[in-house]
Amino acid sequence: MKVIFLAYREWAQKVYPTIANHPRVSEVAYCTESSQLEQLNVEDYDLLISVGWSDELGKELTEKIECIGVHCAELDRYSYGSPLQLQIIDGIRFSKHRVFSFTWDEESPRAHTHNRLYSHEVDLDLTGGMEEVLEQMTATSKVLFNMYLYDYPNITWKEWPEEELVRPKRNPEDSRLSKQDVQSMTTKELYDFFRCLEAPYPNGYIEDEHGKLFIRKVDFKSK
Amino acid sequence: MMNVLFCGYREWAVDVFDSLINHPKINVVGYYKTNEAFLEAIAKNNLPKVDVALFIGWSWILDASITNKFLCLGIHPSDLPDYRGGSPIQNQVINGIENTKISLMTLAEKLDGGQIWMKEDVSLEGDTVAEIFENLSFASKQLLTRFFNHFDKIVPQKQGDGGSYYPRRKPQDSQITVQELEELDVKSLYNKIRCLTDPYPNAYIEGDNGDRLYFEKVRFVPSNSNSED
Repeated sequence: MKVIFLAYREWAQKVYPTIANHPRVSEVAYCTESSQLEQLNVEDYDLLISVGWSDELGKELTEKIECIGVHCAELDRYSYGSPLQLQIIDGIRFSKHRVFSFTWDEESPRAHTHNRLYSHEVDLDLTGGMEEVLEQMTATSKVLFNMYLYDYPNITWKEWPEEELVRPKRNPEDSRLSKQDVQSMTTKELYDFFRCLEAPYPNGYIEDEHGKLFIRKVDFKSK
Repeated sequence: MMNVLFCGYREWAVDVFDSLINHPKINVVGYYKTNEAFLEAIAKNNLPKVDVALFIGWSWILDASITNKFLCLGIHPSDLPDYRGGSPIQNQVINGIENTKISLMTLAEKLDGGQIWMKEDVSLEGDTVAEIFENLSFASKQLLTRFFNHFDKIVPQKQGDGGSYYPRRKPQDSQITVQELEELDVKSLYNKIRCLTDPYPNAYIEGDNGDRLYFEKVRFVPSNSNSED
């Protein structure tokens, strides 16, 4: 198989050796930015694998080549962006990591997962700091793509159920807490809020008229 | 040539001593990183003549038999006689002090009350205690280099009256209380958190059920700053 591999985030780039060394993969074009992808003749390849890629791939590309990605949520409500942060803030400790079909739908408000189809899934542990969570993302992505590539081309697609509830993508101002917010939240809620915004993401912060106190790293101990 | 004993175990203290070990005006006759090793050497009474015993970041109280035997000097990270006693870095940072002095003093019976030999400016800025330790290390090297160069001309001065004394902080003092959350601005919260980063007991908020949220690393951007990088 000839594969195009898209990844620019650090955790996603660590998946590359698994793809490159897979026995069913003969050649990999590794792209870390869109301009590299634009220079490829995608019809020369069998599969496009995106990992943590923010941009939509678009109609033209998804019609020329089969495209897949990994999506780190079980519930449809987290299909609109910032799935890691929103699940952690919502108190979800264990979720799913799935291979999804990366398509294009102009009318769809979802981020990438427009047709809600997935082929393989594994459990995803969302506990700990963001460094640990992203290690989980790397490890589970490797497992998922190994499974997919071994099964290819006999892939069975399943549809996850649609929800009316939507958790919209987070905005930079959502990372702000006032001192009153801090006082009204439990220690567990505060921990989840700050840990899901640890590096490499813009940190959560507490703001008053004097400035912004960015919380870079937190820990939590139950009594 | 001055015969000197080095006593220190904290990383920043070891860094200071290591940088001064080849100073041309001193002869290092002993270098101790634990109280046990130091006391054992004293008990064996096999040390050569010692002109100065230097203690940096030394946690153990020296017995009068030792301070009477040697000229024992220590570096205290405050502008003495202010902030005598325990946890001087934390108490200054929490009180909003950003620039202070380190004081080279005679270790005497009264805690941090001995004569002052020299002082050196030091910044208490930095997001972590590790960064503050780097500032302390730099200032201590400057101070001790001057001290070794001019030792025979320095006349130590008695500390003035007044100043302030603080007891050593306890782990439970790292709690950010509900009252502090209400009353402190975020800059003051930043100061409390940053001076309690590792290796000290981290600042924490405790919930009604006893669960604790610990703050391990923070950063502060004043409201008049153009950059959040």
